[in-house]
Amino acid sequence: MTDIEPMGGDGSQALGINDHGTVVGWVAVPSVGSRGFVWRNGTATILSVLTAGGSFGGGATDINNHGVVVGSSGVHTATYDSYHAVLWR
Amino acid sequence: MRRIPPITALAALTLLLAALFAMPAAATAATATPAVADSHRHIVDLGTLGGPENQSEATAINDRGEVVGWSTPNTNCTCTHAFLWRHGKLTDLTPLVRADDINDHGVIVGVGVTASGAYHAFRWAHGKATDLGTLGGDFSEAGRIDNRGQILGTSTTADGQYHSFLWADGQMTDLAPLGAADINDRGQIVGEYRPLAATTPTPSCISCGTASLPTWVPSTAGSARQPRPISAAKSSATSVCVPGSARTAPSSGRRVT
Repeated sequence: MTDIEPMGGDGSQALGINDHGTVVGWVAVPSVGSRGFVWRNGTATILSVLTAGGSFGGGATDINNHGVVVGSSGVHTATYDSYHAVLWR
Repeated sequence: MRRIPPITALAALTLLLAALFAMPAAATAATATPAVADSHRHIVDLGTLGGPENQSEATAINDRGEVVGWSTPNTNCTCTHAFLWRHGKLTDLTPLVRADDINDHGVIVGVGVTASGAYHAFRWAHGKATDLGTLGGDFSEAGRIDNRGQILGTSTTADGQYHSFLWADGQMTDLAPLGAADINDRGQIVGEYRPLAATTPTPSCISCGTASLPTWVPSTAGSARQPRPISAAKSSATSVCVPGSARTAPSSGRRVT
């Protein structure tokens, strides 16, 4: 069994995998909320967000066989915080 | 779309992952991996369909780069509409309120609202939404579609139970007691064993009768992100592997509606 917890943090969940075995999901990152991650061959990378600092973080839900990742990211403005659908490519 | 890797090495990896999710308390032999910022990928905002809350989420992407999900619509309702993002353009998939998967042919599945206001599993293909019906109850939703067009979902039965179903060639088949999570292009289905009258969980993939490793995947089914009625049901962590075509799958003693 391989623990793919990228940060050793407060929790994570894998939600998608492609035919190359690349896994995506979200991980709780202390002090900044959730972030999407990509895990491949033992190495995890953390995905960016649209705007940091709001009450919403981000997460990845799926990855295709070309490595394009989708999910959502927090959008932080003066008037609201929300999630927007995003892709990472 | 989410497909099960066809080769054994990946099957082994997914087996490990599935075991992790099925039994989180047992995930102890950790090889924690350091994480760095992903410098290869750039984030692209797909936007929303509008609305005061201005929210959206992408749930799946296929190998053509087409993305589906849900968004608040450009009205004041407290509802969501499914969307398709293709070549930089968002399309509202009403009457679908949420899209959960898209295959490599562009066929989309999710949940939508019927004329009578019920939530049913829907299939969207070539601009046309099709109500897949139910297993006899008043609710259903579709969560996965493979490249052969076979669809997995959840439906209530006439007596109010939540069962997984397989939809293929216009026919809906009850998969109980399997709580199905995913299907691959070979028609293999994975999920949880969900006995309706739970006593001792029945193992599982051993009964697949094949020499190869059973293929498992993690799944969003029953995830906390999207409330799903099935997630409220108590289920064992024992997983069931249904070999071969899912059309031959529901032979495990439950009735087929």
